[in-house]
Amino acid sequence: MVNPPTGTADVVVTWSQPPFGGAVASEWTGVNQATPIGDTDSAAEGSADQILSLTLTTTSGDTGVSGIGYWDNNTIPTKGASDNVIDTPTPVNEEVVCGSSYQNASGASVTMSWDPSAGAVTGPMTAMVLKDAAAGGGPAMNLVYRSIHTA
Amino acid sequence: MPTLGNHDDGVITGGVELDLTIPLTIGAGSNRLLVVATSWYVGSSTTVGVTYDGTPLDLGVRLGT
Repeated sequence: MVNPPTGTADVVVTWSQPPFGGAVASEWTGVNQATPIGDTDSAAEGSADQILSLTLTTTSGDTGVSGIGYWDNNTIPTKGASDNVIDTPTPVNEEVVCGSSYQNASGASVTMSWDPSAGAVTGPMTAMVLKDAAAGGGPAMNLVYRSIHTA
Repeated sequence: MPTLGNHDDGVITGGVELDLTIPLTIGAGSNRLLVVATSWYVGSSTTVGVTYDGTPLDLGVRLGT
């Protein structure tokens, strides 16, 4: 949502049938309001121990944001070396949770990844580019977030 | 450089919720954007909707398989 109103309100995620799932909400500033989203990509659920990785086209000043699903009990996947964690809830009772990360772009692309814990599975993974309001060195993006998940 | 701000985690108990509600406080600042990432385990025919303060969010960049 572009230009969300300031103040406190609820993000509500509704599914058409009962899921085990999670969500992470993040709020950013300094995002291009005319074209907020750039490149996007996704990867299907991997096999055990399979690292999921996505490379997105960027320009300097953009930010990549990823989402990742996982559920193996008490395991958390490891973010890519250049990524920053927004949130990685710990699944208990095999619940499905959603994690998220971001990476600042300094060049023509960002590669974002998630490495599952030993023997675990992650995915699907999603990623998209937030376009800087002033490409090449605009105002810094800031974020606040909350995450929540079923139990 | 993005700066990580305030955050809180929450948990809904029950396991078969049809929705998740995330209380979120949007602060001041120019050129704001709200991003919601979700992941779930149900059939591929399931549809999902996301709102903030009752206003539907654009799902044009819904991703995943």
